[in-house]
Amino acid sequence: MGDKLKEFLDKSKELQNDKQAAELQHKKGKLTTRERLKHLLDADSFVELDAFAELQSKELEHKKRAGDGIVTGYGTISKKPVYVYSQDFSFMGGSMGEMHNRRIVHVMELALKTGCPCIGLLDSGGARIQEGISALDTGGRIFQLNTLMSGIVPQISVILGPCAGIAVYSPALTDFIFMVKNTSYMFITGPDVIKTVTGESIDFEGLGGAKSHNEKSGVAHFMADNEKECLDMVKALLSYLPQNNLENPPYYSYDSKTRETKKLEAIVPEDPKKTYDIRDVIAEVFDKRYFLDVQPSFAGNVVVGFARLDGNVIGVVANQPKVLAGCLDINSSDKISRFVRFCDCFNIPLINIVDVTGYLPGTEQEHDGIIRHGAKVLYAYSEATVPKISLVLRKAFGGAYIALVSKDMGFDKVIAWPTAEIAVMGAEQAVNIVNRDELSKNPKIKSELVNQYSEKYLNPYAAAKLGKIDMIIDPKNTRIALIKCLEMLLSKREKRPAKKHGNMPL
Amino acid sequence: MEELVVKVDGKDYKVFVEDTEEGKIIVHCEGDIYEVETKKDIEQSAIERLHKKQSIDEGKVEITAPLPGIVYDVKIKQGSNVKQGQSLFTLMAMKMENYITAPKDGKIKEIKVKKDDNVNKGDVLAVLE
Repeated sequence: MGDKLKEFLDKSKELQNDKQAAELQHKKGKLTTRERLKHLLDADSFVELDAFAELQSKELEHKKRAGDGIVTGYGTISKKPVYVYSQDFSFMGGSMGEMHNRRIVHVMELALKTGCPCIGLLDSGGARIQEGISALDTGGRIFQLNTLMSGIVPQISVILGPCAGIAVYSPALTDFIFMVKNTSYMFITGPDVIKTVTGESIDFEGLGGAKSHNEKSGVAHFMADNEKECLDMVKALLSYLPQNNLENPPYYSYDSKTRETKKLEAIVPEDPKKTYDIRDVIAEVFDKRYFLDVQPSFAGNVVVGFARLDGNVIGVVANQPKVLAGCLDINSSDKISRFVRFCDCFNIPLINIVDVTGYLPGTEQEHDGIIRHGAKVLYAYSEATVPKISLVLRKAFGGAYIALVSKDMGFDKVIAWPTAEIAVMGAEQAVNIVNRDELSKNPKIKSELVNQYSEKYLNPYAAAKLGKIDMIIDPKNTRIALIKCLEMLLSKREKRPAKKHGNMPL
Repeated sequence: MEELVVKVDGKDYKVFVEDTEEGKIIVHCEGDIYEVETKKDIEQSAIERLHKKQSIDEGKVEITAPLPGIVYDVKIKQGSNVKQGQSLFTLMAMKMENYITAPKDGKIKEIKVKKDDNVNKGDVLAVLE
């Protein structure tokens, strides 16, 4: 027994040795696989699986090393179990061979079976070409599992190096993508191919770096300055999420239930033409300090993110009047609908903060398909069965009113400030259409008609008379009113007719 | 039209070359017609692209309208020095006053709009240097 045990202990020690990797990775400002896991997981919680897996190809016999360029297993974050895999760029560029993929598949299957979040730390050059189709095929299994797990356990992808070609689609199928400035890249075709085909010169960072995907494409959700900060952000995100779709998100109360929101009156100008920063409103209303902005740099005309209200995790969707007048457009529609669907999957109630006149006009928007993109917002909200509360600060007009406020479309509670203006459209536009004949005869009466319309419709009372608004409140009672609504709605149950799945506009 | 004899892989071809605008030429060869982009122009456009990139690096920035609307207020003059984040224009759009701010410190080289102008998304409002 003594010799065999010694052999095993030696082999295990060799597995833990990442000196060589450290040299390579540290030079690039990156951590090694094991350093990353150490930073992400609670101390001494990591248990490795399949540590002795090796590549099977005869041709690569001379290269093979136990582990096959990846570390997989499970551990805890804030004492809650998670499954993880972490690719090792120092072994064959982190390339994804058959056994490498099988190790990923193994932890994914366990995460699904046990209802635990699955976190991937990606740092790989892509499929291992020498292993041929078997490397590709096991990659396909990863995509299928990503899809099966979607909506059952939270899936998080952390891009910590290259992630190119077909490999980008596993992160794309997961719920959240994290990237690090200057060291992580995602693209389907690299700069070299682009140069040959179109003649365009672009570097890695410009093509698929953290900034590109967080600001332009909307592929990524979070951007960090370095790897440690990035892994800390992953932990912060997890603090808002349940382990799986059958649990409620973690409750943690630390702010007063009866706090008045006195600053709001000063933050939001009464003149509906004046702008302000909606993040100031969010900070004042929800529990102090804990708003996690999702996709903060993409489609800034809406702000979405996780907050807490009296300790309950909330998905906040708010128009940002400071950017593009807070309008709805293609990118913001995509941002909202994906976020709403995530919250619905994981039992996170939704609160909308509404101040918007509608959809952005223009041929560019129409030709790029604002109809089908805007439809996603309607679909996502209609489909969601979690508590849905809408708070109207000032404007809620037309299509945007239906999408973000309408009780008939399924919002459970609608609260309005006295400054709310709920109508089909703004006064001038409405008068131009409704009173067209009178105006053509006598254009002078226009301002009078506009005033009449404003007085009659641009207030919360017309809608309240029809039962379209449940409450009109003093802004300083906003937090208290929202907490009371939420308490009443937390036990909400809504049954939907059984079906395989709907056909969401995409 | 010019007549040329071109040798390809040891065989002589008689071709007729026709110049068109924008650096493209039409080549007639054995009954087929080809449109050819000349190498000089490909290089030229690459250089132009490079120049464009450099001019951005040098710090000339066009300030464009982020959404369609009406110019409600012009708060700067040609030659004004501005600070990053300073409000330069107010654009009335979506029934709101949208502030168009300076993306960086600099001097206003040119103002291309005036009060009450209608602008489309992407229209240049001013050039910052």
